[in-house]
Amino acid sequence: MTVEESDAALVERARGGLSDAFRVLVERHSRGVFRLAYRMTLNEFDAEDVVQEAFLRAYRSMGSFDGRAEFKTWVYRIAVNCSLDLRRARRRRAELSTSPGETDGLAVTLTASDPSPHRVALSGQVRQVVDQTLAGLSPLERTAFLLRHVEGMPVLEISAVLGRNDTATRHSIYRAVKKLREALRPMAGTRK
Amino acid sequence: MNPLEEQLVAYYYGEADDAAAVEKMLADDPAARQLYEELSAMLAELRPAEPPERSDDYPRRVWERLQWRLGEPRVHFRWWEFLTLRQAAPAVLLAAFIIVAFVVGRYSGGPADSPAAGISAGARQQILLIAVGDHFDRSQLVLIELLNAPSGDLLDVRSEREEADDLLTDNRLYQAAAEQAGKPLIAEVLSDLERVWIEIRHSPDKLSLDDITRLRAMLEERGTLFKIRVINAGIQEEQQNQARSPEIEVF
Repeated sequence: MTVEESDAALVERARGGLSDAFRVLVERHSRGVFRLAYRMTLNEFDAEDVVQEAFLRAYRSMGSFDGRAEFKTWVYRIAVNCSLDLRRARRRRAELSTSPGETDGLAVTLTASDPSPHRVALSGQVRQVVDQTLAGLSPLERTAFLLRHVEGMPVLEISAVLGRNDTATRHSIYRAVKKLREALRPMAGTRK
Repeated sequence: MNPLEEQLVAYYYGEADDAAAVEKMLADDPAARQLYEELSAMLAELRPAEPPERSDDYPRRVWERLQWRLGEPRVHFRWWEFLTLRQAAPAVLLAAFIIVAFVVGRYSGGPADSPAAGISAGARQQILLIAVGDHFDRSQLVLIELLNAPSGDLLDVRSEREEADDLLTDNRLYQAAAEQAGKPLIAEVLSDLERVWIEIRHSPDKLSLDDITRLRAMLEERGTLFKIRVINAGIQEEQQNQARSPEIEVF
């Protein structure tokens, strides 16, 4: 029987310059970082870029990682920052290339530019309303809600990942639920 | 959402500050109970779209792409170092010149076609179109060669990766110039192309058939090569028009 080496032990070894230890960390958490990045960006290619950039930044900042947080929480937090940086860059680019009023917020851009094939394949009115409502939320609201609702992550951990306090995180989740409820209300009579 | 609903949502997720108090409220207050039943029924049914599936070898591929970048020394870009960068190839210098010319032209306070930076708006457009046309030609060559590589063994892409690195640098500069010049179609195609260069730049030394297929799908999904051909044809047309009458613009 083999015992899986803990993240903390791997971080210690990676700090010592052992890229093999970092490789294990990357392989262990890359799927989770991708899922998080996708929830933030709603775009498969952007999420892939965020994964690369997040691990790159993590590797280069390994010396400043104090180990108080879990490695997973830390790298997720970096991925959130990378996603927000990407969003800011996209917004700047949109401002340069479009006149004011031509786009009405990121949600429109994200929804329109999302190329992922699975979205095309989605069926069912409820699913569409849910996804449209989620796309209309801010990235932090959407991510807070999905981390809680889908991933089952506790509010405390979500707060650490998003770099916000617990109250703000709770409010984000509530706002998301409220908007979903409002969006789905007209369909309540038609659902089982 | 009111405080009661906030409490109920927290309770649903097992995160209520005082779960016992919520349970008592639900037992005593029929309205609260009905609200909770509605909320919990909605949340129980809620199945948002999942992120796209990653293949089984995804963690390994992430590491392979990353490994190449980890070997790079960190480069802090400073403008005064710009001319010493390895990438300061003629194309990059030309693109930088175009950007500066457009920015100076736009913010000089003069009329739109003010001969800021010593050249007219029309001339700047011409320089940009010629440079972007060359960039697209070069990009097409690299991509077509890569996509038409013989299938079978792993494909060594180290030279293409270096080429992609240079093309990415040029690409970003041309994109900025196209945006400054009010050429959204060109900027959009350059944005699509940027993703491809990033993908190749992050790739391992050798690509499998799956990797090439993914790259091809990426290009086909956005119709990038087709758009490049259309824009290049438009650029040629515009150049011919410009030669006849400097006022006509295709894009």
